[in-house]
Amino acid sequence: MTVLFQQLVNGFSLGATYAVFAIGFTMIFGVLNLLNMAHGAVFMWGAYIGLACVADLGLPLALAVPAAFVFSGLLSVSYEIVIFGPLRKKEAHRWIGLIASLAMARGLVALAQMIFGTHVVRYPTVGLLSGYMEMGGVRVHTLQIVIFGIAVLLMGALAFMLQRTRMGRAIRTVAFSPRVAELAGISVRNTAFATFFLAGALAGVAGVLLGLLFNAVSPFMGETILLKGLTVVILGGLGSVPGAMLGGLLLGVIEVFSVGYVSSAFRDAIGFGLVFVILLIKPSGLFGQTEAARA
Amino acid sequence: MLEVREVHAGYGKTEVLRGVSLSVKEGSIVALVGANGAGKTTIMAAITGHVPVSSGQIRFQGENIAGIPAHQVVVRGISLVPEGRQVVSPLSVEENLFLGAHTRGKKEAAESLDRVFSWFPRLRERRAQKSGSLSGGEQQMLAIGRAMMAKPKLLLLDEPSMGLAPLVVSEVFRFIRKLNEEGTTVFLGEQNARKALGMAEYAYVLEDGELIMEGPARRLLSSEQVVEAYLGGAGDGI
Ligand SMILES: Nc1ncnc2c1ncn2[C@@H]1O[C@H](COP(=O)(O)OP(=O)(O)OP(=O)(O)O)[C@@H](O)[C@H]1O
Ligand SMILES: [Mg+2]
Repeated sequence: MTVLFQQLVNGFSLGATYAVFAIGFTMIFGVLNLLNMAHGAVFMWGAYIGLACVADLGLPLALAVPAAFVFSGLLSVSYEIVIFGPLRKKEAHRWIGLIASLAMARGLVALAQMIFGTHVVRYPTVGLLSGYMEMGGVRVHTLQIVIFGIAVLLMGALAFMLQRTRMGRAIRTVAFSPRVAELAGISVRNTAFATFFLAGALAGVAGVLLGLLFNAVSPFMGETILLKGLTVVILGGLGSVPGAMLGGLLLGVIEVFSVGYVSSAFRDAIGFGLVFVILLIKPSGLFGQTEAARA
Repeated sequence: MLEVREVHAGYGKTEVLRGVSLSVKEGSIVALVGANGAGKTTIMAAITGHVPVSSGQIRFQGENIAGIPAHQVVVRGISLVPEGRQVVSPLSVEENLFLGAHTRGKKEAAESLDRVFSWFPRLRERRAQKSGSLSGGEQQMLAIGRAMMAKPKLLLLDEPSMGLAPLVVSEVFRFIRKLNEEGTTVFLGEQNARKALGMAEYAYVLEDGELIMEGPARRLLSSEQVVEAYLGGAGDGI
């Protein structure tokens, strides 16, 4: 029982970071109908920016997180400016954006390797965050609470923004139909900027959180998470923000359980495999609409 | 108020509109009738900036608006009720309406919302409901209400009768007339020529991307050519 609760605690803090990463991925897909293969690169850069703030500038986490948020948000907007915006104007096929964003991702990984080196670097153990408390044998690290707290806060803020604000309504309308949005006076281009910014900003924070959780930052961390993000997005239902939230948590828990009860070597095999089984039962994902409803 | 001059427009290399000229006088109801694929929707799309105009002008209140970004057309005072209604189904009824007032202030939007609800009490009752769950007629009212939330000077309607029962069509048309009486200029694209000509003052007949006839609606309604081509019973279709 204790072990089970311990696994759940670990799974939730891991899953929350997956969720924060995947939300942006699913938003870009849902709103702009794009598969952004460079979403992992903003995650990785966010982790490095956060690290630089904490380790090199000696800033507290409370400043490192916003710094990563803004930096990654802007980096993500540059994708729209350099790749996706021009392709939209030319009405180019989606595959081109997919390949171009892959090129962008590889470029950003190479740049990170040049600047930061290829070795794994670590966040300095920050005083308060290294503590933990024990409740009935279950050890909850302060870090896990902080990570979970930040993730929940961000997801709550995003949900509020999407459901309750003018900008959120614009984003949801563009997701439904860019043409209807334009008829109402919404600029699709500005909405795309906002979407890319939010998506990238969340991914950047997820990078910091995962860097803290695993205590490891490397130029290649974006590639691994991209696959998980894709899995979470499909699991949750393509384009669904609540789906990505739940899907992320679920994948986190599944992974921790498979490491705990089977073997870490099988972590991804079991994780992806279980997602496959879930999708066999519910093909459109947890919160997915059928293709007909989307059209 | 609106003047379309020698407009050529189309999709990619296929030209659909081949030199269309028409005008809509302030305060009037003008109909554009034509069969399937004649190009009615394309004319609307050219006016709203969704189809590029390759030559010619679209003048609204004296200014050429051909080529301005699509999202700025509504700011000029033109709203479109699109073909097939296009209510944003994941949004609630109220959100759909506020969407129509996206470019306006909060206070003005709230005033317009009251106005729309006073026209359509049924929408007020269902304000929190997802708009996808409304009936076809209610969705058409919502689409018109949404367009009116921008307080347009010119209201474009593309096939408002589409897919609606005859009684509901009459209701929609009565309402369009009422909007016009309250000061909104109306330009109406319709396959249902009998209904459209019955309401409009002036009308154009479009065939294959070209205007083949125009005149006071009443006269077209009694013209043999129009009766044969568009009112042979098929006009009331689907
Ligand atoms: N997106 C598009 N791409 C290419 N051709 C198109 C496109 N939309 C319409 N067309 C073509 O343009 C022509 C005019 O179509 P349009 O939709 O304007 O006609 P319409 O008068 O509105 O017809 P309906 O009464 O069926 O709505 C048709 O030949 C159609 O095939
Ligand atoms: Mg049409």
